[in-house]
Formats: sequence, structure tokens, C-alpha cells
Amino acid sequence: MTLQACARPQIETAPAVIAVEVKDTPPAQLLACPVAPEPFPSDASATIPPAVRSAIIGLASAYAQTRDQLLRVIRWHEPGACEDLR
Amino acid sequence: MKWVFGILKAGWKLVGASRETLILISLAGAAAGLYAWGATGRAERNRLDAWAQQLCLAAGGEFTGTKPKDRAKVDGCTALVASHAAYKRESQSATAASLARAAERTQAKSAADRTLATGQATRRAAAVKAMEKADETIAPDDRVGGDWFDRLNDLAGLRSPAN
Repeated sequence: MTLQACARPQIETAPAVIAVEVKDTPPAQLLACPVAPEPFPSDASATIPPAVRSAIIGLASAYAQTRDQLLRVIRWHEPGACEDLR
Repeated sequence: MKWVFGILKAGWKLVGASRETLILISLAGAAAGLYAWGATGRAERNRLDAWAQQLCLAAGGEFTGTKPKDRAKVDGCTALVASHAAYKRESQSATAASLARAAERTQAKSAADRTLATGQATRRAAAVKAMEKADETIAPDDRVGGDWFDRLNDLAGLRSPAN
């Protein structure tokens, strides 16, 4: 005698996975294009000791780096945003 | 062969008056057989009915019989099961599509970001080099002029490239 229940064909069912698109856009304020401050006047001249000069250069470099990174983040969320900025 | 027929004929005569009883008995036997056959069918039908009710209950409906009044229409339970299957099919295909879309979008974003980052790094490196060069030319009296400030503006990105 065979077990009838065991002889039944098993139907393979894959577990249902449902993916839903979720818009995860940061607030517009976070994606606002950075506004660069006024540049140093080109016709100016000053006496700046090397230590101060290197601090100024470091500040300028860090600002550019941070701004570039912010631009990358903004364009990650909104491709092509802030196109007028470098 | 003839003698077999003879025996049967003799037997028939012997039965005589109880012939009707015999016919009745055989009829009763046939009826009992038919009844037993019907009982098997009924049991099978009851089992199927219970199964259908269970199936409909599992699908979230109620089994109301297999024959709806309007013959062209499928019964509610079949429609329910079909809609469940359709829902699963459609949601799976929508899921696959949206996952593919998301992967594609992320890939495009990554590529664009890599391009942007490379461009930015190149520009920054050039500005740093120019700044260093300008800084090296400063005389020991530490006077800085327009050229140094121009390079500083370039380095910080304070001046638009159009100027």
C-alpha cells in the first residue's frame, strides 16, 4: 500500500517578492546650488606672512573640495542640476 | 450441446412457480449494485464539494456552486482565484521591471558621478599647482599682489571661468 498523499505532485511556488519604488528625494533646501562668495579683488596687494598664506590657501582648497562634493551629492539626486557651476 | 439445453429447460420447469421470486431477487440485486455504485459517486461528490469549499475559503471567498445562473460568466470563486493569480503575475512582473529600472538608474548615476569627480579632481589639482607656483614667487618681504589673489580665487573656485 502506498501513501496517496505523498504521491501527489508538489507544485513549486516561489515566494512572492514585491518591490515598490520609493521616491527618496531630499528636501529642496538640501539640494540648493551653492552660491560662491565674492572673489578677492585682483587689484589688491597685502603683506601676508607664509604661515597665514598657507592657512588661506588651505581654507580655499578645503572650500573648493567641499563645494565639489556638495555638487556631486546634488547631481546624484538631480542629474544635471546646477549646470552653470563648474 | 443438446444435453446442456435440455438441463436448462428442465431447470426452468423445476423452478416453476418460484420464477417470479427469482426475477425479483435478481432485480433487487441489480438495484443494490446500482445503489452501491451511486453511494461511491455521492461520497466522491461530497469530498469534492468539501474541497471546493476549502479552496474558496482559502482564496477568501465562498463556494456557491459550480453553475452560475449566467452560463457565460465564471463563478465567483473561480474569478477570485484567477484574480489572485493575475495579481501575483502582474506584481511579479512590475517588481522585476522596477528593480531593473532602479539598477539601470543607479548605474547611470554612478557613471555620471565618476565623470564629474574625475573632472573636479583634475581641475583642483591644476589650481593647486598654479597656486603653489604663485606662492613660490612671493618675495621675502611677503607682499602679495593681484596674481597671487587671482590664483587663490581660482583655487577656491570663487571666480567663474568666464571672467
